[in-house]
Amino acid sequence: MRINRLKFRADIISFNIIGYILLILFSIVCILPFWMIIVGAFTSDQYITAHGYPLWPVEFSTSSFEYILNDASAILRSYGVTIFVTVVGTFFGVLINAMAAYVLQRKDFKYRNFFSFYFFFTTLFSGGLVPWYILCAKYLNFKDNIHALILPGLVSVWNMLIIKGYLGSIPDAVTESAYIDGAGDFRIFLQIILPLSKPVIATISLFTALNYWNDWYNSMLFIQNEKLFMLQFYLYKLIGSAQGLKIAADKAGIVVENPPIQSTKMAMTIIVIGPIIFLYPFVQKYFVKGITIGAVKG
Amino acid sequence: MKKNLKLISLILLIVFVLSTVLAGCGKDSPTTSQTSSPVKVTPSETVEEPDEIDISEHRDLIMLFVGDKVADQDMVYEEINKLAKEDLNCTVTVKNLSWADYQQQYPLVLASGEQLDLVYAAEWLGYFEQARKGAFHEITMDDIQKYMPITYEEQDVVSFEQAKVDGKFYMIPNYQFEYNVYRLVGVRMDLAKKYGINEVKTIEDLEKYCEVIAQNEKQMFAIAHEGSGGNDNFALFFRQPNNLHMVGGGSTVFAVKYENGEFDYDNLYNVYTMPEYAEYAKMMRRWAEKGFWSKNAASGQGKINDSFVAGKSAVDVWHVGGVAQDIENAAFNHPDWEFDIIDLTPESFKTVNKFTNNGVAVSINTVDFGRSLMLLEKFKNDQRYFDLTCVGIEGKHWEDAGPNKFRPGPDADKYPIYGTSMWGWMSEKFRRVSETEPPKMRELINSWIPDVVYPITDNFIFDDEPVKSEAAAVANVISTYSTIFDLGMVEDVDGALAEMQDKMLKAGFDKVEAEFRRQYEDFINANR
Amino acid sequence: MASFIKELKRKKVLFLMLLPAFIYILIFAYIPMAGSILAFKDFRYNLGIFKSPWVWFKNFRFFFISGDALHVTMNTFMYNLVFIVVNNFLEITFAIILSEITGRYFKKITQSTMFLPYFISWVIAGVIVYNFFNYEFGAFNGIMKSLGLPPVDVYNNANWWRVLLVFFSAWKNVGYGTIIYLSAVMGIDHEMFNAAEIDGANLYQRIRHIILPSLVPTMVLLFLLAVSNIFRGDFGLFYQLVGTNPLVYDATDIIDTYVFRSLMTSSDIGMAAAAGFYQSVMCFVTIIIVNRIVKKIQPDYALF
Repeated sequence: MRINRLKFRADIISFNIIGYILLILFSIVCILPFWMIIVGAFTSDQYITAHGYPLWPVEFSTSSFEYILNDASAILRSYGVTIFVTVVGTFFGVLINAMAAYVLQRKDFKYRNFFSFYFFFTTLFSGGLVPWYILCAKYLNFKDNIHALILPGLVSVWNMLIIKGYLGSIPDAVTESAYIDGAGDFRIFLQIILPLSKPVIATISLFTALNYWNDWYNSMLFIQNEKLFMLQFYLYKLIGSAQGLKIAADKAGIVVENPPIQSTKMAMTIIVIGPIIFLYPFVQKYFVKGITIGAVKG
Repeated sequence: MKKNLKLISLILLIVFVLSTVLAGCGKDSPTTSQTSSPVKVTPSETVEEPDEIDISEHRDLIMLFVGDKVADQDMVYEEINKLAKEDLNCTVTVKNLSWADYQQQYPLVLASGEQLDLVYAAEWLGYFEQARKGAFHEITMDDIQKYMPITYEEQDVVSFEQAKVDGKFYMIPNYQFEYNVYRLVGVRMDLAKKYGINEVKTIEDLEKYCEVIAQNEKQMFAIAHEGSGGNDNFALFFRQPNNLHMVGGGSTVFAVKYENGEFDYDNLYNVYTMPEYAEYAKMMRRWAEKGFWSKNAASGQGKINDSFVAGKSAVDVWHVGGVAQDIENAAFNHPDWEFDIIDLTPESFKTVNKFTNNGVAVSINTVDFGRSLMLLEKFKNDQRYFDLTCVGIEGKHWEDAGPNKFRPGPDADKYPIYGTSMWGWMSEKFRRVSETEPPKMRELINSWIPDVVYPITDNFIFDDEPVKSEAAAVANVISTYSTIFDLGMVEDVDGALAEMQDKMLKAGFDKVEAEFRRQYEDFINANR
Repeated sequence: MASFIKELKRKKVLFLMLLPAFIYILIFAYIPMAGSILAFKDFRYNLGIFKSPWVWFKNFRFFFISGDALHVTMNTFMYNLVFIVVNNFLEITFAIILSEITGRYFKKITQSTMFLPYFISWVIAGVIVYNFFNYEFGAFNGIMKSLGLPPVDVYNNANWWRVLLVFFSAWKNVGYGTIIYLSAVMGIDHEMFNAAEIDGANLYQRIRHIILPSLVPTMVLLFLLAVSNIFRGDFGLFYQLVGTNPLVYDATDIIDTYVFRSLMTSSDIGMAAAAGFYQSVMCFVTIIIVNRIVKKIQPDYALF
């Protein structure tokens, strides 16, 4: 027994050493660019154009933030829109995806194969941007409408299949025993399956929320009213205007004065990431090891 | 599996039928009622009532701009709408396409079939292609006479000729004389003096100057090309010294030569096979090796002129207006620097931009063609409208500084001067220039004016429809290799040139060339 | 049909639960799918999708006549394949480490930092990479010089890009993928661990005999989902990082960047649709084959 315990310790220690090294290395790789973004945001534009983005703060300046927060109410409103879209979209998106995923993995559901293919097929073939845009803009009234920001990201076949894959690992016996207890399908889903699949639901919620948070494309396609702009769209406008003006200047010789862009891009990136970065630690608490399926059964 | 496929194909079939029906319904909507063919739009409506134009019904027109909304755009257009409501019983709503993705979005919006009246159109945005594919409403001289009488009187017919596609035109081009195709340089003269260079007058002088900079100013580039700088090299160091004028629009490879005071329209050159091009490419290679610009210029992310303004480069290659603005900006931050704008190829012919470089078209999905043109007439020829759209609200965004001059107002940054797609109705008549514009710029332009030439080939647009696959494939080869040569990226210039020829042939250049020459000859014979 | 109605009646609730997703996909995916015919049409703005004249395969020609089609298709395929292998390997490794390592706060912090790159758009990443690797003033060559080594021209060197693209794909996506595997690890029945512990298995044995086998379904699923997009490149990654540098096109040109360049001047809607259609067909054929193979080996793991 004693030897056994020692053996345990040796493997745990070696595993931890390797694990710490790998994780620290990868974290540095992930943090470094982010660090440059933060430093860049607080550096004057002239310095960046002349010397590139510094690794360490030089010529400290907050002018980029001042430039952005010049219109602070717009940014705040945009936070509101983004949070609303993210919350509503994530709630309904995950619910719809999870329900469908549950049905698709029920082995007693006769047409599950067909419907799986029905969904999966759309990840292979799509009509492309033009028909989709015409449908949304002309027939579904997406112009300047909040649902233009929510609907396009609502159902994701990819997420659906991930949930389905996870639910597949829950033994059928769980559903069957609940059946015998007289529970209906929806109740089984809500009260037994969902609690059992917390990790995957948390994961998919996180993914869906991030997708909504990161979305700028739908704002660009459908929204003219700046009261409905998503945060990321502000960032893309900023980046895009530099690139677009370059092309316009090149092709048409149009000369337009442009704002300090280098540091502002970085500052905007920070503002856009904002609170969403704290979502992850929040989701982490659902990653609890050892959901014991047997316990539910009994 | 087979069963699945069958079922899916059944669904597809149903969907197909459904959407066809949907599309059928859509056809009855009023916006598309007059769209069945752009070719047959006749001024029949105009014949009925030649004198009075009926504007009793209020219209809200939608105008498409390329570029993001500037801060005070809504405020300015509120003012416009006050005027327009009174004058024309209409209002206008501006729809902005973000710079972030305008290249993809512009055709998308045109294709969507939603209401759209005035549209900023330009050759560089693909006007000819869109016009040919039925995106715009045809405009006739009768229409202009009826709805835009001042334009009819004042605007040179040449501008409409340039906009013609298969004999018809679909846009009202802007009417200003821009010298944007002509490249010259802005040079840091204080650095020249520092290293004992007295004057920079020719391309050889420039090379010497750059050499000195490259050797001595280790923190600088001589010419900071980043990303797209290649085009500027091509223009300044190849096209202008050789007196060539590009023909056909788009990514053309053909040019005509200007010799002894006139264009030789009979000889059409493929620039990439000219010995002068090989020489130019070798010169660029030499310059690249000497480190005039970054080895990674092609991958650069910054803007060409930013480095010059920030003092990271000594030479700015651009058109006269651009160089002047860069110098203005650089001098603002560094009053101790000295600059000069230099025309390195004074012998080269001078030409103005094609008028189709900016313009306004009326979409095929317009609710009121006549009213759209009438509003455009106001933008072009009513100074109140023109000033509002171009420089903003007086006293707020700008202040009057004498005829055709302005001084920035307190809120100038909220409505940048000439910062929106009003480029489409720019005109020489009302255009205001900055009080502080470098005098050298006017001087140069004024010296060019007497000698400006108007090549008739500017009216020729190559219709690549019969060979469009080949044209796209060839365009890919050209964009690949031209960057390599313009920025001197390969050692073996001759080898790369041969490789390029080979790839172009593979891509079907023969067919493109034959078609191009056929169309060109037809055009020249008809216009001589 | 009759059996379908019978099933519909018997499993009313299940059908109802499926209905929202079903309708959504019908509207947003299948109806626009009819627009795929654009690939075979000469699109005219005034005629719309359905009335524009048919040109059949003419829109596809531009892609094939230059002789680069095979080359860029292979590039797209190979890069994606390498991305799938490398990223999944790293994701599984990190997921296992994170699930077994001690140190609660360390875990939380590293997990959050791994997610950071996901928020950085490729445009911004491109700026940072240029800043780091540009020949004259980049930080990388600064380090090389201070070590007395000759500077490296990273941007014009295709081999560097082969490595860097894989690196940055992992940099951006591994944090995301790790979570999927992590949630799968969390889903493993705890009784199995307890049993293993009683049997005296050490940590590595536990990983090998319990965790890895339970991750196989997730691995296969993610692999199949990735394969179904194997001919679609990550445009942002390639375009924003490499830029328009013709010297390395051989190594870095994928279908998406190639088509973008060809249509930049003409922006032809029909030709763009044709390129998309080509990618769809290639993906479709690949996934049908791969799925069939998977089904042969283990029917439960197949997608459909």
